Amino acid sequence: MISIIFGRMPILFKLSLISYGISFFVYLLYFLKRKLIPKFLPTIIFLISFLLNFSLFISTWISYGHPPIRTLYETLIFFSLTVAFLYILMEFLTKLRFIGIFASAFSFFALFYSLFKADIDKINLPAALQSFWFIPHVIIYFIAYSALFISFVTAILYLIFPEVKELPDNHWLEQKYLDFDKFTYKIIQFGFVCLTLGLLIGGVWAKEAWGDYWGWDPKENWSLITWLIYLIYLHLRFVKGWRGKKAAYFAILGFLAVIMTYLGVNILPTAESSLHTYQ
Amino acid sequence: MSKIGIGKSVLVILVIGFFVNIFQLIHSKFLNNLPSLWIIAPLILISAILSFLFLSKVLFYLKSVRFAIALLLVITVSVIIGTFIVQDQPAQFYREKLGLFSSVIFFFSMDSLYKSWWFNSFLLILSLSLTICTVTRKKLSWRELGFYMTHLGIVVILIGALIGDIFGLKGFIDFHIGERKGEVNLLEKGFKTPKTKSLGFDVELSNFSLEEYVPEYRLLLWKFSEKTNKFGAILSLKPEDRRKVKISDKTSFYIKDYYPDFYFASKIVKGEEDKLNPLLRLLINGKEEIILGKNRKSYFSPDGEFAIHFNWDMDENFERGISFKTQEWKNIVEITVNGKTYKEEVKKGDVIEKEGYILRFVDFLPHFIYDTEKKEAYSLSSEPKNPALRVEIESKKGETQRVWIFGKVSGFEKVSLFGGSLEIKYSFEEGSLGAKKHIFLYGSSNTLKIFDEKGSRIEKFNTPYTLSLDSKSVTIEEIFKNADVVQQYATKSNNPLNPAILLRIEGTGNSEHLLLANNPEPIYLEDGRLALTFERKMEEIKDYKSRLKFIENGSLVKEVEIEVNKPFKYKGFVFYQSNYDPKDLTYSGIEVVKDPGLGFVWFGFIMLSLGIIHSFFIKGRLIKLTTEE
Repeated sequence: MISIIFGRMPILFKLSLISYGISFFVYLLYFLKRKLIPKFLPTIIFLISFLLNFSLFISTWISYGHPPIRTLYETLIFFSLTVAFLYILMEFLTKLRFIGIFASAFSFFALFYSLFKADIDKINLPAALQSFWFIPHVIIYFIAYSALFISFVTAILYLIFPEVKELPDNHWLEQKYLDFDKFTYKIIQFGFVCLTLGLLIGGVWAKEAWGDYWGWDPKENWSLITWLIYLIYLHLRFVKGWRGKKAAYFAILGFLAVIMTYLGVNILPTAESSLHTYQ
Repeated sequence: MSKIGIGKSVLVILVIGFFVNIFQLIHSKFLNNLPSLWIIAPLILISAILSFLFLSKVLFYLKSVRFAIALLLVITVSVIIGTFIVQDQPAQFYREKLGLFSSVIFFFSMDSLYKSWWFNSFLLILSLSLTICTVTRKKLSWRELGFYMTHLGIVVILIGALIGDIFGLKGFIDFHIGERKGEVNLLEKGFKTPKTKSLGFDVELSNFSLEEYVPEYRLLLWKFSEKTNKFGAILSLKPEDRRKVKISDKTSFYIKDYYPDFYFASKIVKGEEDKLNPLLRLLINGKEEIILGKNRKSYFSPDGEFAIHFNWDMDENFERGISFKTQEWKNIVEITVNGKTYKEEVKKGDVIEKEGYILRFVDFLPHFIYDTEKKEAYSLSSEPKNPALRVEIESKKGETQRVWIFGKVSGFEKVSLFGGSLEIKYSFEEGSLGAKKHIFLYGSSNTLKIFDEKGSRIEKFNTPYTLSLDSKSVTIEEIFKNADVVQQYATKSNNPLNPAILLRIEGTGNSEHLLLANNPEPIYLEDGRLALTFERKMEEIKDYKSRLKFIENGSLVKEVEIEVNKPFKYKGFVFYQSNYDPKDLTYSGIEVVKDPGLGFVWFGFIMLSLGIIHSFFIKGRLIKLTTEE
């Protein structure tokens, strides 16, 4: 049956999945045996994967007639796209290529997981989603989630490499400074802005569709919980003894809340009453 | 002053929450007749008095970042707890699901956590904390703008939410088309209550419409799952998709053809000229196609006006066709005299002589009826519903007897006269061919011989030839010496009115199946583990709208159409298209909301958004990496 599950996917999907897989190996190999891989190769392959993923997204949008950012399958593809996009931006700005291993792994696994959750057919947009706010709300959230994923990786890296120090020129991390704590903090700042805007747009849309900007719905609640955890993280910077390791734990906790918001709410016993659950 | 620990702050907050909860329990258990304000007001008063007594300590707590963090932690955990307990259900629900534990839920008001007094008191303390820390922040500069906007923005949002809760209204109208209402049913905790509130004006639902997405059809491949004991769809193909799908090493399938509006079409397939299997194709009134051939030699028009008969003229013998006459109703009489029976066909006015008897058939009535008043017989209609013949028989001796004999009345079709020496039996024949006009066609390679009431003639046939009859036109389209009619799958149009696909399965044996969407029958493969169906995609609702009329003092003020995501505001009330009833398309669920605090909330949203962007873009200058003083 694997052949049917894989075989039924659009060609761009198959290419994106394979391409992300290759880029993961190339990034990994680059850091394990530096001499083998030319410097630019992992980036090029990852860029190609991103372009394939983007083409898949656009072609699906065209064939559906509406942006494919609604079902679990559609959002997994979009999530892999936004992580790839943010990582490419990040690599360009910071040259912290080491994260590439994790970004490509994430995009690969998101697509791989979507194989088993694929919608067998296009689902038309129900009336509630036919709103101007639908697109900005979802896009901002997935950009937030992607940034927070990267912060999750760097928070773990901080726990592995906690000391802030200056690095020699040809260090394998290709950075002058090793300060994962500060790095995590900066990314979370960006992610938090997106989370806040996403939350507020959600409120505006909820008012227009359902008559109230906040309904204490399980999905809304978990998005609030996520926001609160990162809010606490940001404020812990001001508390002695709460930066560094403890902050990293909060950053990790925050991303777990992101996963819970994205996937977990569908499993909750309270999910049935929610307007947000995936079919 | 020493700093308060986060842990200690959490404890303080929990204690406050506990006491507030006690007040709520007292109210709900013993004083629930009183409005909650009567209990909340004293509670706030006590808190205010206590705060004044310990003002500096209270301010110290409220100003502290650690206290704020502790508060956020408590609120976060509270929200988490609420997501694991289904909210706002009747008490029975919790007792059934949680048994004894439900008493804990009720004690801490966790069945309606987000509306509980303790939770909202935390939000109140948060507002105070935000206000105090903003007011006591000594730095007033553009660098700090983000801080002020984010923190005050949240306070403004919370104030707006409070105003909305106290002075706002949430109601519902269950509307049917044509109804006019002046009040709404209040919603409490998201549920409809019988309590109503007057709007101050009338609203009428003048129309409700539901729009569906265009129906689409799919070939679905289903796989049986042992886990769920059901079939689950694993593949969906559009009918235009011709791709081959491999389901195992040997077996594959694909859609060979698609007929959006399926019907069985008759197609004429020509054969070799040396064989004989004649076929004639006619068109009645330019629309109805009739094919005559060896299996069907005649066509009778449904109204009995005409009949067309077809055969092939094999040896060009013209005379063959002539020996035939138009057949109408026949009056057959059997006359038995002296043991001999004579069979004759008679009409009104005929006179026959048999064995010395003279029989005069003086009258024929197709629909005999006897007028008892006028004592005479007449025909009720021209249809042979009761055919009757009037016979006058004169014997050799000059005796005359007169009778009516009836062709369709059993017992009266036979009559014995002259003491039994003459018997006459009448049988009425409608004619073996029930039509008023008969047309005989004999086809040959390039001519058409036509025999009808006008006579006979030969026409050259190389283009369609039209016979004109009174009310219809019959066109002879084609004549074949040797042809067969084949039933074919065809489609009348491109509109999916009766969709069908031709499915081809290839494997150890090949087979083709016609699948009709309007009558979906599964085809099983792989020992029943897989199945294929061609069916209509589930109905999907695209949109639903209500047309509302706003009426004051009997006259129409405004008429609008609302739909999901497009509400309408009238005199402070916002009308939302909330839901519909698939079983009753005259029903429309309208939600009505009045929120005086909304302006505050939106303003707070803007403050928060701008503030947070400001904070982010002041790269690190605002954010001090040193600890607080």
